[in-house]
Amino acid sequence: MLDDKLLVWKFNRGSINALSRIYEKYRDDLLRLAAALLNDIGDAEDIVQDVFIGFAQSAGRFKLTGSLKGYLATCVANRARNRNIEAHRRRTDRLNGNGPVRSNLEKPDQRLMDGEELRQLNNAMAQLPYEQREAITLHLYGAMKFREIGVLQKVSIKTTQSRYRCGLDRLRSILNSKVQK
Amino acid sequence: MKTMSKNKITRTTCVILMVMASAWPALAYPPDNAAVLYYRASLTYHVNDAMTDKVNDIVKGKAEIDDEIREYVKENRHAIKYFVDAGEASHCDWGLDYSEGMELQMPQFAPLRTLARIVMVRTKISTKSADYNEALDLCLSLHKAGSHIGGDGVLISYLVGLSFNALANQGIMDILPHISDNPEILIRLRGQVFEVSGKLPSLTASLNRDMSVCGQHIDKEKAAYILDELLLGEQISKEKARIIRQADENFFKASKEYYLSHQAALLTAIELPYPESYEQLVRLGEKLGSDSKDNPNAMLTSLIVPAIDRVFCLDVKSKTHFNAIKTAIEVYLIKARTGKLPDALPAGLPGDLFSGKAFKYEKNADGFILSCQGKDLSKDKIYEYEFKVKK
Amino acid sequence: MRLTEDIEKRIKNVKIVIDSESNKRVFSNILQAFRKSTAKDLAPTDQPNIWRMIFRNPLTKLAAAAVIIIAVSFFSIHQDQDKQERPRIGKVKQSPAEMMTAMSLKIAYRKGGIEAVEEQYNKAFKQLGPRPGSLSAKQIFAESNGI
Repeated sequence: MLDDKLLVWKFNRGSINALSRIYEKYRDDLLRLAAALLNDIGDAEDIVQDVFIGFAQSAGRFKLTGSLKGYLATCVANRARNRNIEAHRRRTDRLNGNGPVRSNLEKPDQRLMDGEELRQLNNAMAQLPYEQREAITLHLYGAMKFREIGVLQKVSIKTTQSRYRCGLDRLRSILNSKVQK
Repeated sequence: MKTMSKNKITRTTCVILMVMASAWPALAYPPDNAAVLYYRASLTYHVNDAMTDKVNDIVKGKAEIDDEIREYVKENRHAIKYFVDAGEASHCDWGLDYSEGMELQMPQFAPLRTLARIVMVRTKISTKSADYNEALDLCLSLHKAGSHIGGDGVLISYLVGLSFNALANQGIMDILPHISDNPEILIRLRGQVFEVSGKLPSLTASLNRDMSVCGQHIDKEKAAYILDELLLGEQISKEKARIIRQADENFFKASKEYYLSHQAALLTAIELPYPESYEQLVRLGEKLGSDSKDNPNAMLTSLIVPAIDRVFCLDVKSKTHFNAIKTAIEVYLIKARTGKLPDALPAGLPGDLFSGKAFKYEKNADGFILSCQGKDLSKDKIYEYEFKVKK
Repeated sequence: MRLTEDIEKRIKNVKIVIDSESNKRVFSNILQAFRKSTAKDLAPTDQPNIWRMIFRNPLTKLAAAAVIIIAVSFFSIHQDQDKQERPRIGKVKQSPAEMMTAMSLKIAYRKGGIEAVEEQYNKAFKQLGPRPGSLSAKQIFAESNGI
């Protein structure tokens, strides 16, 4: 936490190094978070880029009140939720959770991230209700406490914890059944 | 009356739950984080230079176990326990802050390396007293420690982890002849080895992390640290260091681009089959060497990237040795079932990673030998592993 | 409990492979936004008005001038005393902590493999001195009773 405070202090004073360190430190987890929330790697990459651009644009004015990772993860989650709502309006039948994760980029070699494990996990995540997915990913990738996630989801801590546990149980059985096959 | 007794039951239940909850931390052992136990083991073991030398000799086979060493190992039983228990923890977070770049301090490896040798001596003591299960558990704990140290770390962590794997492999090799006729222990070992196989650290991940951490220093602000270290280690001339210190932002930007493209080429090369991979890595190393003379952008990269071809060969060697052990276990099991060694290796067993083929199998008077079909190109050597059979 | 930990670990540690070219491209977009923002923040029109405050007030103007004169004099004296470019003094000795950094260990490995790393550690720990012996609970209580 102290390290993040120092990085933000330097970032606000125009240090490219500090920005680069923040980016390298949190990029991977934010990408995982976004990819798990959206059924689209391309969208996930766009959102993470947008969040970092938004953060970069706040240089000089940014005030860190809690955890930097939590803040960035919240930004990603909010954008992901909005993107999902838009996509639901356009393509309702793709959001029944059965569609494979795919990218809307035409050329796979333009993608920022890739990975077989990631695809498998995201396919399994896609079968969970959105709120459970959000609870799991924000807790594990965003290092957010259940109380903070509850505030974001506008539910009680108990509900968040229950979503988290049920989601993990379901995820475990999906992934284990894939292994047995 | 009923309400009163109900309240009493509720109160009693609450009290019991509270007592259990307060005692819960004491029951939650081992902790989730293996590093806690490794650090604890490091603080607990008895430091004794004379005994450390003796331990080293025993591990290298230059000395025998005597009462003095048994006493020393007994003194360290708690440290050994923490070390072994650490292997059961679900993850290992050393609490390292990689944003510190290459200034990151890593003191944890030294005491653990000493402890690893003490664990090896304990393994030999257990083997001598025919407690083979305990001996194997201790060897496997070395593999697990190797994975905990080498996984998710930088290159130096990976290399230290590999040294633990090598110790573990040697330990298992020493025990195998004693259990060659015991299918129960062999089957147990097979399961343990399978469990460990899935957790072996990845050179790609370590190299990727190492290069990201090092790459932070290709920066006008942060280059000073590595230049000081390179000067102290006599890896760079004062003149070169002076030129780099006075360079402008464009130099660092171009150097960073060169570094990133070299990193990408290395990571691609190590995914190829061994002979092509080695050739490519050597070529990349040579190109880097010649570029560093003509192209100023290559200078920093040439100073901070080590000889990856050598590291790669160490990685392949360690994993091949482990594969030989896995294959040997299957051969021993066949002997235990049928009463004799097979004439040929069954299909589908792990092979020699230098050639990508199965090991060459040859019976001899004492047991059998598994030989690699491909050479370690860095040493121009073909490795053979001899496995003895109990007579 | 263990099953939960296993699945949590699996999710947290899921491997992703980052394409370096794309990463460069993305970061350069972020950097562009950052540069625009910081350039704007440091634009002349946004300079702190502290200078205006100094030059409005005659007393502060005088004080600022005095500071500048003293600084320039000091600098020119210093320059006269030291005409040759002072070479940068490199480190001649490392502390134990410095001997155990990732960079230092990496250099040791380059020079002599894992044995050289071990020797480096031994040197560092020797400098640190002997580790304090363990304290028993009895000793701790005996000491605390003296407070």
